[in-house]
Amino acid sequence: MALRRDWVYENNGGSALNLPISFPFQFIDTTCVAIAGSDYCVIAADTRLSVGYSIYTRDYSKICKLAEKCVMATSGFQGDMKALQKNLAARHLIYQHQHNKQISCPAMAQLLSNTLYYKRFFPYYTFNILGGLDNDGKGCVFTYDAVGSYERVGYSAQGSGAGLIIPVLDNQLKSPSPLLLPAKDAVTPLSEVEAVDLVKDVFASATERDIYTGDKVEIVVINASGIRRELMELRKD
Amino acid sequence: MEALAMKDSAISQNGTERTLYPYVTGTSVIGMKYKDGIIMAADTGGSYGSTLRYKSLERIKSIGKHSLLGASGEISDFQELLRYLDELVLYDNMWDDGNSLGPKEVHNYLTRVMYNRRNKFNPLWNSLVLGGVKNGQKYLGMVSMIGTHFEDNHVATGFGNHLARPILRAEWREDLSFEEAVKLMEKCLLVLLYRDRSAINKFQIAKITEEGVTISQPYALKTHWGFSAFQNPSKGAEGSW
Repeated sequence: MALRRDWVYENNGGSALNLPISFPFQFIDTTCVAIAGSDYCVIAADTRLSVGYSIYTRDYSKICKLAEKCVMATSGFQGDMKALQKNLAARHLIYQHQHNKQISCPAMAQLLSNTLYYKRFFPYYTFNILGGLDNDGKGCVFTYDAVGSYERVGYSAQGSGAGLIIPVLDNQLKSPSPLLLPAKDAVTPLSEVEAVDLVKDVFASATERDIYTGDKVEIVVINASGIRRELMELRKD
Repeated sequence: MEALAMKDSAISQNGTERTLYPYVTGTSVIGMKYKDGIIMAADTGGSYGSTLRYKSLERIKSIGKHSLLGASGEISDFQELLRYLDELVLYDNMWDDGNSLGPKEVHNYLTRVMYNRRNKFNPLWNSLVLGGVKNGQKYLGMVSMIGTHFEDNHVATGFGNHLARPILRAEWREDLSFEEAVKLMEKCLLVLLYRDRSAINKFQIAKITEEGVTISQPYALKTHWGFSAFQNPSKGAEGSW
């Protein structure tokens, strides 16, 4: 008998635990990373779409441009990922009609949080990172859980490879504690080129050990001159 | 008996019903792009558990002018989907504005339908392959029963994902001619026939190009069972089975 839990959140990674409910305690696939700089933001995600032990396609983008200065990377159940992206893109269109301007990244961050919490009791099974430039032109990264709790940070990683990547970022970016007074800036002093290199390195490392990460990594860089996108090949095994 | 029926049934106090598991199922569908369009293949079998109940099911249908839809999984849900799509195409034609739904649009519609049914815990238990050509642009995508979707140069559902995709990944090329594509498709179908127990030796291959749709008559592939190891099965242990 196909129990409800088996198919509702088939979620691109299969289930490691046999829980009576199908809530976000299962395998999360894909890896997303974002790093905020003083005047840029780097967001990256791999392009592998996997379900269980199969790869559906090697070329699926998980990064969605929501606004001029605001880009979202999502890991988790792909059906919910797409629905969430469409939802936010539609809300942004309404925002533009009502306010006659593009939404700012911190405002979109709040909108994403509210959208996720709205489905608190049947969640979007997505683990998101929002990246962009804030109203002062400084890089900002917001990191989320599946039901909308979020925080502005200097860098973040989500998804199956997050556990492999965050320690490396902690070591390399040495973000100051949010408990310090006066509050110290969380954005990294690294230059844009150095940050992109770091992102490429962490993805190459995560690909070695995580089966759900690989194929290609899509790196999006937002700075004052606009949005730039590049692809880097990763191991395909 | 009644207790079992009550436990298995999805009818609760308020009388709702929803899909719990599939009954009559079709096995893999394979699709690939080739030079002039899309080619898609599926066998014509419908299994009722381990019984081969139906041997002449058409699991590939044309949708509108520009698309082909192949389905694996629950056959009655596929038929329901065809009713949805009939209505969609009807409304599209009623605009009478010279425009018609392309494969990308139909794929998006199917994704939304499958996802929303999954959200209501009442899924259409199918994995769908949607392919087509419009204005010279080829499109091939897949949607699963919970709304996971993607597009690629070659797709397959069910066992096809495990057995056919590796062959396609190794041998598919951008500029396959129709004959080469059929040969590659038959290679995949043969592997599925040997290794998927719910596959039968009666296939239909459908192709769609800018000109239109052709769905072939059902035909069989040549199989080879004359291996020496099959000749005398109890050779190694006389009297055993």
